[in-house]
Amino acid sequence: MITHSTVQLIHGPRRLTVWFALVLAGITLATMTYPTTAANRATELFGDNSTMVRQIRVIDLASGDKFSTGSGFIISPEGLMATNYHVVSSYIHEPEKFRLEAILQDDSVETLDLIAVDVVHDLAIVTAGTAVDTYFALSQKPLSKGDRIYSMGNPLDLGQTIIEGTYNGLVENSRYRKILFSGSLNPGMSGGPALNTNGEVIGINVSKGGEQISFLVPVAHLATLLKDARAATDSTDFSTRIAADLMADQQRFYDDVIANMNSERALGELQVPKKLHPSLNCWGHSVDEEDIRYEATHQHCQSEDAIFVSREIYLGSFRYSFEFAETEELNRFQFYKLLESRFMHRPSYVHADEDEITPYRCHDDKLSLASGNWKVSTCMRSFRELGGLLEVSMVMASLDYPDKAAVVKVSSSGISRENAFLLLRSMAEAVAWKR
Amino acid sequence: METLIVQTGMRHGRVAELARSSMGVLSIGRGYDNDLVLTDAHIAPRQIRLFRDGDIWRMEVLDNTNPVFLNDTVVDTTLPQVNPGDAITIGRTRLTLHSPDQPVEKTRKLVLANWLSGGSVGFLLPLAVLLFAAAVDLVVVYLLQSTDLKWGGLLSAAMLGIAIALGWAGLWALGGRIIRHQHHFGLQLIATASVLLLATFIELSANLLAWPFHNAQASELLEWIAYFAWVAILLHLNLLIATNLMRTGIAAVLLSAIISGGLYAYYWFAESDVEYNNSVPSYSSTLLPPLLPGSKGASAEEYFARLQKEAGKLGKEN
Repeated sequence: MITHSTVQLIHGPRRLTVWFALVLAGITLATMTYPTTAANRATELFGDNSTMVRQIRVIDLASGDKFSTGSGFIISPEGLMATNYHVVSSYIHEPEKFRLEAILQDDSVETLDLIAVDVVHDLAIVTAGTAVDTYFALSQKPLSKGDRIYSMGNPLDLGQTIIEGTYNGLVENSRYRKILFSGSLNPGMSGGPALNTNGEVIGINVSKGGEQISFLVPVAHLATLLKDARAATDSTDFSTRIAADLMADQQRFYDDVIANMNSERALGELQVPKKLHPSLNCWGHSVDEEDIRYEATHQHCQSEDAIFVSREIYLGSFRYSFEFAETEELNRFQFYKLLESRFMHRPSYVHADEDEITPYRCHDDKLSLASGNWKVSTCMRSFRELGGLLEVSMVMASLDYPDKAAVVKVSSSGISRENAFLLLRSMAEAVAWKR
Repeated sequence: METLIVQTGMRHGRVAELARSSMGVLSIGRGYDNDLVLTDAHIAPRQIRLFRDGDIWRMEVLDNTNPVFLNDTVVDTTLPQVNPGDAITIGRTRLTLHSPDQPVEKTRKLVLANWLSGGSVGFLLPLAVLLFAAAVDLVVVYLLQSTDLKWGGLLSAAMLGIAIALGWAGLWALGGRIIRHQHHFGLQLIATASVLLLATFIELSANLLAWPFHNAQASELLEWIAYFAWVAILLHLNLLIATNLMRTGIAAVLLSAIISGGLYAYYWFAESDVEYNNSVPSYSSTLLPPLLPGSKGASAEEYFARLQKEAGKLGKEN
């Protein structure tokens, strides 16, 4: 018994030690296996797919050297290649000044033709005209937040790389809901593919928001563009296509915005429209410090989207703001002097030159509406090559009370003339004093 | 009337081309034995003779080769009576007759010169005027424009204004000392201070006048006109006190036009190049509080119809 128990005692600890060692080894193995398999997956994906990813260069004809670079990838057996619109936009705007070429893994060079563009989603399809054996499959499976994704491309012209990150759903508060990729894209990777663990394309690298915050265009838009490109017979007139896409896109957006204009919320003694579109981001603040002799409440909503059209022109900005101000200490002249400093057009983000945009034309007047008398200033200018899309800005200030006032501002860039007038007029008439 | 005076040419001041009768006679012609010698090839050596006939004066035409006109009527062989104020035309020369007892008015220049030489206004009065002007300007600006109800900035601006006015008056006093040998610093200071006071109100009224137009160009134009006006008034007074110029008014208007025109051209050229980099349009930003209740503005239909017209002009400039 004693012996037995001793053996058992002796055995006991031994068995425990063995178990302990086994568990420890298991944990170690498990912790080691996870990164190993992940790293292996990236290695495998890179090995399998790197021949289908190319560097795309815009070549300046005069100097014969590269003007800008991006990435692209093969998506069909006939050799069609997907990239970003912004990678090839210089060539689209000035085909006489540039040409496109792709650099293969073995450093050989192919000259590219442009096949199709989707300016709104920042996509383009190009081709070298040669059939290929291997090409990427476009994924149709939805992803869940936290899924691993891998992005390939040629950052900063440093050579082809693969980076790993996580899928974090679609961006909220946005008209063109891009994929939020928690990984770090860099310039030059634009147009490269983002893959799921099966090596299927789930998105296209497009831009970066901050540390580990990058954006991908969902692959569904590429699938649509590919279908259109195959169905189209004549696709050489890209400017018309770009203008038509922008026109259709603003129409969808402003239809919703103008339809929402009736709804009301309170701001000080004002009734103003509610958030006019779910994609907008609204902010508010108020001023009531002691040494400032007035009180003001301010709300503004703006679109966080920008459509890249050319290096100088980004469209899609839409912003409106309401301000209610009142004073007990300032006399009426002082108060309206103060309002004058608020009665300003919002500076434009568009820094295009004379051949791309017309000079401003403004009309300023006193306006009598159901809500009372206002001073209104509206300024607009027109993009010369985008089917007459406008940039408009309206400011209005109420004129009826010596000690309280409202200032309303609306501005939009990339809006049709018809929508601009609907928007401005409905906005002018939507603001009212509380009964 | 004892004597008669004949004036040739229409020039005033400087050269007194006057001839005075003596012993009741005054002869006129190209010859050197005349009382009034005229170098005019169309005049006879002995052309006319003016002589006293009792209380009146008559004219005798001595040579009929070319006609002699009295108040634009040809004189025949009779001896017409002549009076002060009559005009005689002979050859290419026009003569005017005057009476020596004709009253000569004191000119405004003379009055001013008299007054200027009368004595100094001292320094206290001009300084008081300057302080008054600065104080009025300060109060007006405070009541109409101050939004934070703070005096510090306004006071420092007023002090700067006073310093500039003193410097400006000083420069003109120096000019006066050189040109007229009299500085009149006190008067220059009073003039400058008064015009600065006026400028406060001129610029205010430009703002008020521009309001009904609701137009950026109209506001700008009125601002420039206001600026031009008070600069012209200021220069006119400064020139009047410091110089002996004949036409100080015209000189002041010209100078002011050159200054404001030059400044306008400078801003215009400076802005014309940056128009496309400048992402803010030029628009009418004047806001006035409700002063005249009941004044109506455009209806929404009218406003947006006019805006449509503006939109129609986009891209049609070139």
